[in-house]
Amino acid sequence: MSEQVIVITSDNFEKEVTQSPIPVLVDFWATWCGPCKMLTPVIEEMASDLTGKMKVAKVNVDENQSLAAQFQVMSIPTLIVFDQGQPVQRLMGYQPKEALLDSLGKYGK
Amino acid sequence: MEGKVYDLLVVGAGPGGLSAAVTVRARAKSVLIIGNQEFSLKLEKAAHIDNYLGLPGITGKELASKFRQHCLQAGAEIVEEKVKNIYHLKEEFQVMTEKNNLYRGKTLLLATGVTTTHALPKEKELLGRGVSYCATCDGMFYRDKKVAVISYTQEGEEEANFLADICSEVYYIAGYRSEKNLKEKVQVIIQTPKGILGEERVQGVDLGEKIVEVEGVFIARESVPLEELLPGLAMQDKFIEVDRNMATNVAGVFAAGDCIGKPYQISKAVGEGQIAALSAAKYLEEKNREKKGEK
Repeated sequence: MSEQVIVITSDNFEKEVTQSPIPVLVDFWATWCGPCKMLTPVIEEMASDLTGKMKVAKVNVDENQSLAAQFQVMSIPTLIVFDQGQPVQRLMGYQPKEALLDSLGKYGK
Repeated sequence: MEGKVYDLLVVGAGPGGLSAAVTVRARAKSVLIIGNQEFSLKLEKAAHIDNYLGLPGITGKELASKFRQHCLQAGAEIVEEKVKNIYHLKEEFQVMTEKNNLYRGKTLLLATGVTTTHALPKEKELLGRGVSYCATCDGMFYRDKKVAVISYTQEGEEEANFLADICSEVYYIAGYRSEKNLKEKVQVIIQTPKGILGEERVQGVDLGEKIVEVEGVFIARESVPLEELLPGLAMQDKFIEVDRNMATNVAGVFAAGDCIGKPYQISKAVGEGQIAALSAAKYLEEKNREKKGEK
């Protein structure tokens, strides 16, 4: 369900990502990017699949350029996994859900 | 996930792919051919073909059109789109095109022809660290910065013109000679790039004699390097490795035509396409039996 994908901005990044007790998957996206739009339903499905294990969130890079710069996002869509506030994994480009869960390894299980 | 799941997805609309489509239709399987126009260009350009059995002296254009008609009559579907990525999921394959359409299939045939494109040194390592394949997606990250477009196709001109409005300088490193339709700001360099430079981030493009210092490199190609299209696909040199049934090392994936090796001949591609289609049909039937057995 879509309401489970948390919208992250510079204001709530600290609370929702850095201080999250569980790992967080953050999708950096923008409205002008075709592959990002394709990824949206996948991210929404993942949010409900991973409930309790992992938080799923998204950052609009257009509105939050400082966050994109801070994590050196230079290509979208980029997915970054944060564990205990630290970026631990980075995935680029569209991938179907099964492939994404696979790439996430222990985080996707 | 929406969309029809085809029995067979064929990547490539040359003789191998089209022949496979006709054969697999005869086995009452559904098939979609995804063909970059360029794939059959080689056939269309051939002035005279003198060694195709029964049709001496036919032009490439005529033969291509006959092949295509035959396929459509047999009930195959064809779309003209460039394949960008192939995803291998548990029960199916998904092919994503540059138009961001996603096609689904139970089996896959690679009949891409010979692709001469191979990734540049450091291209993969620096992907997302300065290397990009999509100017409209990633251009904004390079506002007021110097970038280069390495282009092997005219489509790269659009990318460069888009970037010209955002970036401070745009170099267009062209791997082809035809006339270019570029904005004044874009500086054209006709040279073959040797590789991309940089460790953590892109620092430039190595042109052999000189280096162009840039922070971003956008790459436009006619086709994606084969080894990148389907991760894990076994290659032998620059060709896809297959057995006598045209099966690759990936279950459910077959290959035929020039992409599996020489000689680059139409009859060879047509024959291989047929074998591959029969193998795919057999694979599908075995899968079906397995499923029934489970129930």
